[in-house]
Amino acid sequence: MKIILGISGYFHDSAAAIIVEGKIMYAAQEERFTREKNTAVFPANAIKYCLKEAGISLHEVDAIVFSEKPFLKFERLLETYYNNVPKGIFSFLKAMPQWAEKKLMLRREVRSQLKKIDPTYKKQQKLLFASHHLSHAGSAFYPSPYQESAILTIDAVGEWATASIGKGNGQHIELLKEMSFPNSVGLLYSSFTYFLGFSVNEGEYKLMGLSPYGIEDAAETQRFIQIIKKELVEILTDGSIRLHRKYFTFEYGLRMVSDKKWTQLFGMSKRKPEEEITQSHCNLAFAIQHITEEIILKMAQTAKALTQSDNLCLAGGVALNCVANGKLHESGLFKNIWIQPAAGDAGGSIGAALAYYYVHHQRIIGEEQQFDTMSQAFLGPEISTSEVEVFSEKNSLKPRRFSNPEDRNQYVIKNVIKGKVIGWVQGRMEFGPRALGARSIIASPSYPDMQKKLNLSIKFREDFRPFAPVLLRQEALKYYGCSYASRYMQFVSKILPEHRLNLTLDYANDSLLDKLSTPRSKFQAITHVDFSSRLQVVEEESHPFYGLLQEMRQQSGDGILVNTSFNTSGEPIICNMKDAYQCFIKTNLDILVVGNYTFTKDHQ
Amino acid sequence: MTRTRQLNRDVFISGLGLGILYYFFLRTEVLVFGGIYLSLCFFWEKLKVANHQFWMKLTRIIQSVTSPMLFGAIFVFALLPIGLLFQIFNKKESQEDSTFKDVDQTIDASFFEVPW
Repeated sequence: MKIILGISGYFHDSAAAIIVEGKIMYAAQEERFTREKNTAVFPANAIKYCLKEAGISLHEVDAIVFSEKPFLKFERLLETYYNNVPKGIFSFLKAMPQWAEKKLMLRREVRSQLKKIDPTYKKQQKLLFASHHLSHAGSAFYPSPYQESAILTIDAVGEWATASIGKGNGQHIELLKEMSFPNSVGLLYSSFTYFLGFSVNEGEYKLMGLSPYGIEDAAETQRFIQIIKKELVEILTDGSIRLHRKYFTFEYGLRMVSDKKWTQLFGMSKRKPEEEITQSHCNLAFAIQHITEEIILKMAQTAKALTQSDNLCLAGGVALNCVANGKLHESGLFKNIWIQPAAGDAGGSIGAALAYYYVHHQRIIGEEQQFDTMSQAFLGPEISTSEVEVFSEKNSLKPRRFSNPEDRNQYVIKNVIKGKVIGWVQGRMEFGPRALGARSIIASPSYPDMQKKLNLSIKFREDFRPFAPVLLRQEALKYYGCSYASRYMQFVSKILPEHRLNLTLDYANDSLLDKLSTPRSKFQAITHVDFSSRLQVVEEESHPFYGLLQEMRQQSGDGILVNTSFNTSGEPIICNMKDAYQCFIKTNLDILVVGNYTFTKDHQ
Repeated sequence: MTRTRQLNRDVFISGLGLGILYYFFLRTEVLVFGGIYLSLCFFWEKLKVANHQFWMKLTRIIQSVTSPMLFGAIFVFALLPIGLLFQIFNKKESQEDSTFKDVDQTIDASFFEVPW
């Protein structure tokens, strides 16, 4: 039996995964255990979890594969400094001690960390290195349902590559084209994230959520688009880009861009994090989102031309841009698109392990494999019944226990319909940034003020942020005309015109707050201001949401719920019973459901 | 290294430090103080921990000063001249029709063996 441990870490979004005979068995992000969002530390807890669940020790692992090549990354850093001296001294002083201490001697560092986890670990065991974009490509292609496919990976930067186009066929992945640092779609998008006052590597979702508030036809938006294309980035015919480096400082500075030059360019200063969001901010968000979509579409066209495949597999941080993914799907360029649910760097742990495994082994995809081999992304730890009971006893809690899931679902939906908000914990934790039904907060989408309630009193985040629906196949077809698989919230679709409410004539020019409060559909909480929604379509009966959605349909007529991650702003998604209960207590959640147990605040 | 070993090591370092002080100043007070301090350290766990924390803090302070000095020197004396030469002799940015480059790389078992 071939067992491979994949690791990503030290740079961003640490994670570990165990692959047994090519099957992804266990995977978890370190942030869930350390409670530090996007942590870059060595994923010791994630590895411990994987080993414990697999019932093995480190010496039984056949190979350990790291998702990057550290020397290539260091080479890129040095060359970047060479290119920019005398600028860059502060960035150099910040980065180099970490490199000297750990990253440059990564083999030694990883080995010493592994020895701490498990003293049975032997130095003779294979410690291997995949490249960053091969890890992404591996995570996109191998778990996909396709025998052959085009592969597109786009992110900020790996070693040198910032985007790559490849082809997967059977067990083989061939990378055909690569775009190199500093020309990077991810860094371009992150530069705008920074300029609009959000945190880089974390606030990109916010920027994407803000973009629909921009007014497409406004003269200012069109001016922004022109400025970006003329001054900041040259979009070439094959989708590759050339950044105009004088406006960017991420190569050598501690900031993404030159604030002064960007202020002159756009006629507005960098937004401070707590500053009010104006229409100009929304228009700028719209402009960069529009340009990103254009670039991705062109890259996909190049991938199509190079591979002539009907299938496309996507990964890399930029592949989490579900608005762009939706447009790509709408374009009809590829018949089928599959996106790795953990498309960011965490997914690299899976990709690196799979890429190494398939160097030696045949990949067979059975006819019956309808979806993928990600086990619906439920690859993390589970909260057992005994854990719930022990926790309850220790904290003198008196949860209600349902004897079967049907009764529990009936109770939950009855409360959802009344407007209650539920913390929902079932089965194994998701791998990747999205809550898909194992660690979720659910609510009714029909209440007009539900979006505000969730944002302000439960998630404690900005009021403009949209929420996503989870729905059954029939509802996806009925309300969105969506006939494709969208299991992991990776595509944005617009609600069909017949289900939209009539808007005021001046709606397009309304302010952010006016737009937000305007009724748009009967599912107000999950219909964004441009009528779009990030769909999660549930099809399998084994899914933790399936029975719940059936019950919702039975009680309300429509199998649709609001589904958002079970956490508060700035925190990772909850992992264990303690995290779940703490989040339940400190927010305005009404009911906590863990397995067949329910907790309410009245009885505690 | 176990925590006990770390604590004992730091007591030994303190002893060594006090010994050096005595060597330079030849003051009996140092010897007396050192003797009492080290004896207390071996019987009083809390003092041992405080002693360890003192050395850790001192290390951090020294590191926060020496690290920027060392890397600053590397930047100025190594990176800067090489970088300037690099900028002089390196060709200008190309203005080709694409920034995509062909990848000439075989992904086989040997690809994974090396960290470059």
